Amino acid sequence: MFRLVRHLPAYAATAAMGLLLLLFIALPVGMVLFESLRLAGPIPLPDLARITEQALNRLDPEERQRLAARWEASLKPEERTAAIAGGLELLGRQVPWDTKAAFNEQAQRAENALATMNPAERRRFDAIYPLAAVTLHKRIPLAFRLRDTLTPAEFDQLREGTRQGYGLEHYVAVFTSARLRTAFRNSLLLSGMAAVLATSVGFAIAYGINRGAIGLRHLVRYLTLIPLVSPPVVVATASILLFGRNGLVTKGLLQETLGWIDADVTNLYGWGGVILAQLLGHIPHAFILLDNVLSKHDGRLEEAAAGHGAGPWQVFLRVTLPMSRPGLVRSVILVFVLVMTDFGNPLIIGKGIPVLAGILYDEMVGFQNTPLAAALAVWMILPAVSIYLLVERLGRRLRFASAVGSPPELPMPRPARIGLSAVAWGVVALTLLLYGAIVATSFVKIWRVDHTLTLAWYTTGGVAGFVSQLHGVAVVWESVKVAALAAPIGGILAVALAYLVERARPLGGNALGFIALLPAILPGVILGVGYVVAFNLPLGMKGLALTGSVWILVLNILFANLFIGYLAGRAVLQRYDAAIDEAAESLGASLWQRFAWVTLPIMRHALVLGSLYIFVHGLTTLSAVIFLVSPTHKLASVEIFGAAESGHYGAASAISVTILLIVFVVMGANHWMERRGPVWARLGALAAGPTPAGGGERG
Amino acid sequence: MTHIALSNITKRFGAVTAVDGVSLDIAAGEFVCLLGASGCGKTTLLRILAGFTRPDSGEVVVNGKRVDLLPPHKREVGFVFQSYALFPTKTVADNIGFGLAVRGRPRAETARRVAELCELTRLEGMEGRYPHELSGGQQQRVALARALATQPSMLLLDEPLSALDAKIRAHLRDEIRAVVDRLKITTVYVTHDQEEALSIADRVAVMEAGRLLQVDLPMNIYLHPHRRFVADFVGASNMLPGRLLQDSRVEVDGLRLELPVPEPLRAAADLTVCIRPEHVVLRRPDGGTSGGKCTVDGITFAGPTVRARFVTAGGQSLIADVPTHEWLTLGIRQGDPALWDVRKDTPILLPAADG
Repeated sequence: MFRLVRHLPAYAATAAMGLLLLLFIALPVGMVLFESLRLAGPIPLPDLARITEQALNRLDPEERQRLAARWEASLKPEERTAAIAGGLELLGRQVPWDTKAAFNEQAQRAENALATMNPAERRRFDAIYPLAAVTLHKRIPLAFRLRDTLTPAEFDQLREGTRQGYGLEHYVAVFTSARLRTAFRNSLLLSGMAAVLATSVGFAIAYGINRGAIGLRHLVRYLTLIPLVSPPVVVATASILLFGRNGLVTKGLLQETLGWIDADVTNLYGWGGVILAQLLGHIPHAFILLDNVLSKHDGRLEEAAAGHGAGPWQVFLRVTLPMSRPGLVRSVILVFVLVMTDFGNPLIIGKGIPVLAGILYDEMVGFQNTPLAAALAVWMILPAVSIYLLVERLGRRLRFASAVGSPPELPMPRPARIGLSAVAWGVVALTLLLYGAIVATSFVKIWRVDHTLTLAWYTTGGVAGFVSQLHGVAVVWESVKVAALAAPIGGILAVALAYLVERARPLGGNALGFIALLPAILPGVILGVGYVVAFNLPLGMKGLALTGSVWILVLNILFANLFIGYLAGRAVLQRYDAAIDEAAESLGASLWQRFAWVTLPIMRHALVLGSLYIFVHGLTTLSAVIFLVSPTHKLASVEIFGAAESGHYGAASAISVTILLIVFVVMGANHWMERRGPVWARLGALAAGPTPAGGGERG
Repeated sequence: MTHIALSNITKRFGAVTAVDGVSLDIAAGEFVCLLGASGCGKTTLLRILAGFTRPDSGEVVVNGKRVDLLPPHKREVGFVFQSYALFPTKTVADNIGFGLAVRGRPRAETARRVAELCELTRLEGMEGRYPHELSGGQQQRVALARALATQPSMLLLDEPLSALDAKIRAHLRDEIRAVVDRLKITTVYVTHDQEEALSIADRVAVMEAGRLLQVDLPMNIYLHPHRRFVADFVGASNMLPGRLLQDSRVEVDGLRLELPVPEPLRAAADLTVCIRPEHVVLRRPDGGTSGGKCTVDGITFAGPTVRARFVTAGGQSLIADVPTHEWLTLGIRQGDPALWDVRKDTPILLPAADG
């Protein structure tokens, strides 16, 4: 009884927190899994063709011949093109043109494709073409013709081409559909390359900074981290502005001025551009992780190796690299997942390279095929999870940090020093160049066409002559509102959860912690899809629907980024003396008094960090929220993406620059407060440092 | 003033019995030290007294009232932690005044009390500082002041000096004792440092494996330990098997000693004899006829004394602590033969086989 009463407040708080986490994290994620197994919606082409063929077989051959001919002749040009595409797909071939391009372009390419087929292939195609045509365009007349011979269910299925049920078909589709197979392969390749490259470059910079090979360390650090807080697709857009067909560097410099290349042919569109965009966009993630890992290395190990006669290169290969291995692996996995789930950059600069994330976006937004989208989302994290588990199997120890990390005092050979500096400054220079292009674009009328300076992209009027729905930077205010609403609530919740899990230690505390951390390991797109599925018609009641409201955005941003504040809070609590809580208790403070007067001040730092993270992410995230915006509630990040995708670079740039400014101001203010603010503001950070009780001091 | 009675306290953590049926009475105003090695249960017992840990069985009675069902914040106990546990985001003044603030006392009263305690613990002038700006010793004094601010019925200290170096420790333990004396507050002090315990406590309670072995005045603990463990733990000792010859004669390794033999041991034939190193007398081989033959095989200089290890004729390896100025007159070198003897009435007699 005593036990229960003493712990009652903790139990109540835990229950409340658990409910929130279950509802807004576990439920959407669970529903994504559930949805991915749902076979509702359009029947995939191969199965639909089979059903159509079965129906056709019910007709007697003469009638079938007659109808087929008549139907084929009645096809409109677009329908014919689509039928050709269908036929190719049924043959297991990939459609060799962009199915979202203009119709006349598609038609031309379709005819080209037919013309370039070899005879054997052409024969197979001709055999299947009629079926494709009927399946895609003439099922309804067919269904009506056979109405009397079909059961009502069969009739509906043939006519509508949809179905209900559950199964793993969507997962299997990644292998059976040529379109998905290619996209999956592209995604894996792209993610793998970007992960390895970003980790290598990030490691080089982190190593250079930590070993003192790179000057102006703090400056380099901050500049390297810019893409981390950027709005989406900035790097891809800037790459187009500089290296596209009409890019400043490709056309302006290399073609027109130097005459070296033809920019229409040699540009960064395609694999090069996407890799560059993903690389630059994710070097910061790798860098942060590896910077942290390297700063905790015990330099004495490298010094010991040198003392045994190992040269600098050997020390690096035999001591530094193996010690960094866990961090390197984590970095590769992290970047891999991030690139795998990013559709923004590929859609902007890699239009000819379908990726899984891009298809997911299409399926959700274009075809409302949520089940397939859900399955693709799960597929996207499977490789990363497998690698992680594999690595964990092979190597027990995932951390080689020592209590006192300090760099070795070994001189670095000059070539290495120069090389590392070059890499770091190269990345910084490229980053500045790209962001400079964005800033410049936002202030001119039309990049590379009309360079009159203008503020029109920033004002609500937009630029005259352009579509009026580009409302300048007013949409930024929408984003700020949402982010500013989510940030403080999320920060407090995160800190409260950390306190509960770490101090009150209720039953099920670990489960709560796990749920809170799920969004850290799952890409944002899963939570985004999950929110649509879960809150569109919760329990079938339209009244409870959150989609279309501002709350779904706030909640999504809040819970997707709660984990940072939670982890920071737990780190602070683990580091400071648990006896402090007991001291307060022995002095007469109840649970609430302890939390408010003792713990919360100490966790201020974590609170600010958590809120800040939510705020910045709220302004810059794309993949989670793109499915949650509505006509009444837009977000700047989505507008940027839309504008960039349709080539309105001026609008995209202006909004991006505004967001960047806001982020810089907020982070700068926080930094200033940490360094020069009043003591009470700084103490949060101090409390997160080593414990106050020192040993061996003079009285 | 507070009288504490612990009756048959038992506490288990899983398979480990941390406190095993401990009963202890502490008189009002008394300063009791719980002394023992790490893991003996002394801190657990202290925490049970404070209310952080609930005993599995037994009672805690303070001033005639049972308190073991009360949570810590209702017990009026001042607790000083080993790591001080100062609130890092609060000033010294706010730390000390925390207990009063929690009870809703008016600001003026709190400020007055804080000033009183700062004066008592010699922290004047530091009220505005933060813990990280203080030295270890200063932090410890803040912890002490904080514990005393609410005028608790008892003061409990959990190895408060173990994080400081030797010189400060000696100084601060005297200060703690002085403060406690001035306030006449019942105090329980946990430590593993026997020098500390012997020097400041009114009574010392030696604990081992969750049990109280002996509760006595410090001098009695040292000079008249009842158990071999206590004799070993407190101070250095030479343990020798001995034989009881007649009522007041004990034979030890060839030496015949005349000693008063305590009643419980008179029936035994075999005993353990404990001889403190400072009670061993070494003489040159030609320095007399009494004493046993031995060879000195190790000499360590420790400042005020010289510790000499010697091997007796019976093969026992013993140690003797000789004041340095005496040692110099002895002129014994490593490997030399010598004679060893024991000062009159100093050896401690213990049962032959016990814990």
